Amino acid sequence: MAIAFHRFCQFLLIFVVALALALFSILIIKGIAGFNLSFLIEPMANAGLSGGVRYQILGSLILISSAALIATPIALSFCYCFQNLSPFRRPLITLLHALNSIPSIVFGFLAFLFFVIYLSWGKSWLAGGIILAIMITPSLSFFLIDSLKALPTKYTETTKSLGLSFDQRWWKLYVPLLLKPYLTGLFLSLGRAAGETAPILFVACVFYGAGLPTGIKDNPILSLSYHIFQLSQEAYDPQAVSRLWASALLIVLIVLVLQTPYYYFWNKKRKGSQHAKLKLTD
Amino acid sequence: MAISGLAKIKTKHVLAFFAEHRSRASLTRLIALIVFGSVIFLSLGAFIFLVWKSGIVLRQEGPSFFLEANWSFRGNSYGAKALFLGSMITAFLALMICAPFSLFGAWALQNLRSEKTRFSIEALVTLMASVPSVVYGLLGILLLRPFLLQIFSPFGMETGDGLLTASLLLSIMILPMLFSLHLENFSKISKKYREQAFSLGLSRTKFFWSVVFPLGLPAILSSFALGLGRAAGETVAVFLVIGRLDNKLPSEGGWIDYLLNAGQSMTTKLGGPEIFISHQSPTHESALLLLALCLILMSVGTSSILLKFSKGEA
Amino acid sequence: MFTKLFKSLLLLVLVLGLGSLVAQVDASIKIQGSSTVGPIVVKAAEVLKSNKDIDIVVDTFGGSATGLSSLASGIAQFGMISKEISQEDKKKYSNVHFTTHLIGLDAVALVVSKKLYDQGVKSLSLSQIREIYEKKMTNWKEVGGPDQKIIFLNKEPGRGTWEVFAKAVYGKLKRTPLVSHLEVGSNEEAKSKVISTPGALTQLSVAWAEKDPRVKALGLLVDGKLILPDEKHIRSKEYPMSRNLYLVSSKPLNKDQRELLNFLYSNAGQNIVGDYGYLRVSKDKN
Repeated sequence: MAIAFHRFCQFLLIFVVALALALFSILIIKGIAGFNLSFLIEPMANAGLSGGVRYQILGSLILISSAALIATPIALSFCYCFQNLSPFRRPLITLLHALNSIPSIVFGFLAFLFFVIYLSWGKSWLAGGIILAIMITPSLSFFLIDSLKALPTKYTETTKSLGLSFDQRWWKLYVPLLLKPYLTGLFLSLGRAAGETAPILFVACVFYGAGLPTGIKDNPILSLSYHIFQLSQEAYDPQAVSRLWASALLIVLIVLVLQTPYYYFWNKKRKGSQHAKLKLTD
Repeated sequence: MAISGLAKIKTKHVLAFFAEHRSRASLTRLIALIVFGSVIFLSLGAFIFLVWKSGIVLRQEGPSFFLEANWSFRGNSYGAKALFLGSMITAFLALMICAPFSLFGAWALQNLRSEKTRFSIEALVTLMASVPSVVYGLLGILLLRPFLLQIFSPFGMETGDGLLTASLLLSIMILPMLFSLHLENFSKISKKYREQAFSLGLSRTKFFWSVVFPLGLPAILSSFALGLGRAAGETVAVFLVIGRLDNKLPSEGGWIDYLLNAGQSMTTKLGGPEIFISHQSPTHESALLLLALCLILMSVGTSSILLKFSKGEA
Repeated sequence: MFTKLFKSLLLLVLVLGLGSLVAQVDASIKIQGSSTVGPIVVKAAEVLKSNKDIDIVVDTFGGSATGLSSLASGIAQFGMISKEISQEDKKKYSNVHFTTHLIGLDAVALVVSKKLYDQGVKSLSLSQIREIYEKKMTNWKEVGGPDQKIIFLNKEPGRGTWEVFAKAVYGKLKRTPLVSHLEVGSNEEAKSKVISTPGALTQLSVAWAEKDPRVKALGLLVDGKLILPDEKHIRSKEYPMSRNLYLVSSKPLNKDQRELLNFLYSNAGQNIVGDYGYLRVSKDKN
């Protein structure tokens, strides 16, 4: 009886593993066919049916860079407030959790109303960057706060005993020490942001025509995720299909590359967790 | 939520704060406060805006917004029952499908003796979580849809688009997240009690059901709630495979027909072209804003409950 | 060191941001709207970009309705529509004066997969279409086809294609019954889904149907007479669902926008129209 359960669990695990393997194999096998240098370098032609995805890649990069630049000061401020302004801790955490849980399409909708309509920015790459920044700020802040908590106390104690004020500690101690974990967390969040479609759907993206932005208002950009979204609705045109798979493979690669530092440190962190050294009966 | 948090800041704290911290004023602190304040201000402002604007459609529809399924912007009626039902059913179904795999699969992994295999599987599943939702949507449209159509057409599935397809896709999407959470949970508990269980001669299965599962239940449930929230909020992947058919209820053709065939959810409605079209019609816009508000309330509500729950048990 | 770097980066971004706010380089032309007209304009844009270095941005998310609403709200300078501007549109956008520029002709066809066509579904009468739309007729065998459930893939109500269909079948948009069907959005999606769904029927641009051997446009039975959606019947408007393809503007045109229109009216532009299967408006030559 007990063995049956165990076998059952193993069976389910095998299923999960098979699923994951199948997922990646399909992506690689189908994607690699269309994956060549010209695909990466050339701009789109023929409404996505030929040419490459140059401006889609650039557009996605612009979006996540602006998101990074905007989210960083905000996340740092949150972290600062968390450390320094203790009465505000509870509302801060609650706010962050609340923001974190909101579906991305709601952000997209509100951003559309605010940037496109109210501010009359039209479709703008900056609006996309801002909304992505707002989306990644909560998880980035959590990451920073946890990293801060994980700092060895000996540093804090030393600096406190030296009589440094909080601000001095902040800039001279915390921020430099947080740099590595921060960058890890940042790239993790940027990886997530690179794959997002819903928030930028109404606000920053078009399918054709946008190159590099020349201003803020009325300057949409292309994005790899939106490109896949649009093309997947043509999913039965054979020309589109091969490009679709290649774009999908590309976006997964970009996300994985961005998240590599996180996985590298994740591996180290894992060593702490217990695995089944003791074999129980059955 | 925020209100109860704010309530805990009693007046004396605030006064003491300003009194003793006056000397600690600095540019950094000022900037940080400004940023924090503006985020709060913006969030509150957005929330108030949503509540205010939703009034228009509520005045027109009243409770039938929630009770009727007659959403038609051309006919100026906005009964969103089918939308709520669609969101809830797909999310719940996704969770139900995913739960055994994530839960028991994670347990099997926890019991794996080989460190290397365990690491590879963990890494693999974690990598799966990085895949963007639009790629899952693509896989859904190109692979899942025809596959399910083949299997279920004798049962009445017409196009391969539908609630079941969406739920399956969602369950695949939340699987990695739930799997990792459960694994972490089991790992923690296992670390604590494994030796004792070993010395008592417990089998792995008995260990699971008598120790790990009961102790881990709060965390398991909160993970499920997180997964449910994620599934309910997913837009792009679901948009491509749900069929986008408005106002369908199980009462019309039975549950099998309802699940196998197309439907609509709150997020897919918001992800469609109605956002652009609604621009000139205040009532239409208000209806969509009310939908967004409901989504926010649902997700924030779930996360607050989770927060209270995990703080309580920790 | 890090803080200095960070602070200088921040400064740089602020400067760039403010700079671009101030310096508005000659903006590109934004065009939004119908997925039917889209390919023509995209191709024309490619030509104009390489010949005259004019930047044109095209988006077809949401179809004709989004074309008009984007034009009205100033997001776009041109809207693309594949239908006439209706009374409801004029009422909705009462403060906007629309100017239409005809660039091509097309028609809406009811389209099935080639397989279904070969199985005997070759034409429908308007009353049969009404019955299908209102879900009163549910199986293809009732019209001479195989024993297969009719799956109607309705174009989103905001699409120009849908409005042309509704007007032709029901006379007035208002009279169109509010029935829920599976929805498809763009022409691409409609075509994809009709190919991959057994028993499917959808509204699709005739040009798109002609270009793909996997779908077939049905003829329409009007007063007993079979009218096929071919050039002759579309030009003479005998085919009930014929339609004009427009670019719409709401303000006086600037130089670049005039260039685009002139190009589209020219032989080269009309060649593009023809290449995509639509009908030319200038009667010059083929």
